[in-house]
Amino acid sequence: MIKVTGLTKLYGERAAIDGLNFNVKKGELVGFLGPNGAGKTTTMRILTGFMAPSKGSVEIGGHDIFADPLAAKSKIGYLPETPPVYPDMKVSEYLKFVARLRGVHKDELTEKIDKAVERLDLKDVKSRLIQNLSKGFRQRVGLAQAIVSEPEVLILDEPTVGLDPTQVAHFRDLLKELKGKHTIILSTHILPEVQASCERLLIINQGRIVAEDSLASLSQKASKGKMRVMIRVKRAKEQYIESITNLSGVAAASFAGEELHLDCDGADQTLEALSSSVVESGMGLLEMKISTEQLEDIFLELTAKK
Amino acid sequence: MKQINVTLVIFFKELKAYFRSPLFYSLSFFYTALLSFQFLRSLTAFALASSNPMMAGQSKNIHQMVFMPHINMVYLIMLFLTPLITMRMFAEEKKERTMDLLLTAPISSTQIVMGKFLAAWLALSFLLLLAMLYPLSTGLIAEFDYAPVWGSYLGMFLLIGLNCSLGMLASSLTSSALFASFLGFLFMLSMLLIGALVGSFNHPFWSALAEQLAVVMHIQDFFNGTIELTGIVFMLSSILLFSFFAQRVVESSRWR
Repeated sequence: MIKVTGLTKLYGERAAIDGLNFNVKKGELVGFLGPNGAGKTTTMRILTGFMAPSKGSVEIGGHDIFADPLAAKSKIGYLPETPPVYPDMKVSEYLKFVARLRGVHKDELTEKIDKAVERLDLKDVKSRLIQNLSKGFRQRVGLAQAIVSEPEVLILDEPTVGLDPTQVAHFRDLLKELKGKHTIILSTHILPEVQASCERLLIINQGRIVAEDSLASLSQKASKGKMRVMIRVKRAKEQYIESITNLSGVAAASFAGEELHLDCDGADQTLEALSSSVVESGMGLLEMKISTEQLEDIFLELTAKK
Repeated sequence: MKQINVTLVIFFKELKAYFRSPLFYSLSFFYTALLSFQFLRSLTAFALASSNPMMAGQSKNIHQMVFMPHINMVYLIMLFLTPLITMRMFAEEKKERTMDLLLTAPISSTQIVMGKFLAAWLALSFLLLLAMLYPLSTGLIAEFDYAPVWGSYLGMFLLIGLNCSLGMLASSLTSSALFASFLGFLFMLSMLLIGALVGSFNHPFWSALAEQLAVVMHIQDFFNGTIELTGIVFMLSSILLFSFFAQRVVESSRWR
């Protein structure tokens, strides 16, 4: 659906992005991850045709964004860094304008606007002027604007900035709902966001893609076959440490209060053996999860200034 | 068909914004207040002159005595007012970052420029329409030849269009509305000042060229009631030229 080849953008001598190549398949949800100034926004801007690249090409649904911009752009919904809202318009009026601009037919107008309003929970502010809305609401209006024409491709630049935790959760649900129907690229520097929703990650640093894979295999690669597992139990029994450590694939284990932290190779049979041995020990298995700090580690490692 | 459609979407959005802005109404207020004051004075002066037996026999031309000062007043106020109307056209879009929306929508920069230009021209023409009420209401109480009046208004209409395109160009060059209005005013003034060059050339070719390029010369013809094709062509092609420049500037933002 999205095909990026050799994308380069130079600002004078400095390359904001340098020879990016990636593909996004139809219906995929891809997280675009990178530290500030890595070139995320520049890439998004080029993908949407807002900016021209110095070199390289972008194809959206088979249309080159520069050779055939109108056809390519009609497939895109875009939420830029700053929501592109007109302060002197009412929310419903603004959404109508955007929908008409994106070529939504008159007969479907009300239906699509109502749907977007409902999805972003904007009913209460529908007839208010945008200039009187809070930052979070503006962000939601910006999101509504991106999805109102139900485009095939959604490009979202840091969509959860300014949203409160409830809204962030809402947004994740919305992403799940949109996933599959739309091809989505989500740029962010907030790690849990990608962890919660993205199938595939593109990690970008200093204008180059430094990693491109699914979250699970990235974790495996980064830990070089090691996976940190946290097991929470009802009754910690120190004497079982040894038998757990003796399981094949488990490296080191230690208790921290009621939590058992251990490193293992991450293979399915290891995890299975691990869980059954904990159950058999009678400690009372409450929770077992792969440590969330891992993505952070990968991120830090990949984006470390070299 | 679809091409025209999106242009209209921009056009109506812009038009709505003009007629909703307090600035537009306060400008209209000062504009009509000034016009009323001046029109009433010259009309009274004209009425006194024509009823004065001492001055009988002298030529009393309502167009020269009443309508010309009136249209010159419109011309003068418009010069100050147009940059204030056009300053927001692109500068504000850039400042509010709504330009991102326009440039990533399936719409060409030509359509954006066209929609915006036509809306600004129409909004200002509405003010011109208000000014027309003065001669038209005079028509209720006196009989006179309307031809020079129509000529003057056609000239003003074209001049507004030209100034709109200049103001739009200025607005496309910056993201500060204040600077855009200043720059726009400067552009409009420079176009008018070409007329001042007419006498300053000794060579017949250059003075003829300056005469053809001078907006003032063309506009004076219209105000005198002579509608010449060269004048209309000059105004329309200037509008096209500056709108084209604006379109290039908007498009070039992708390459920076």
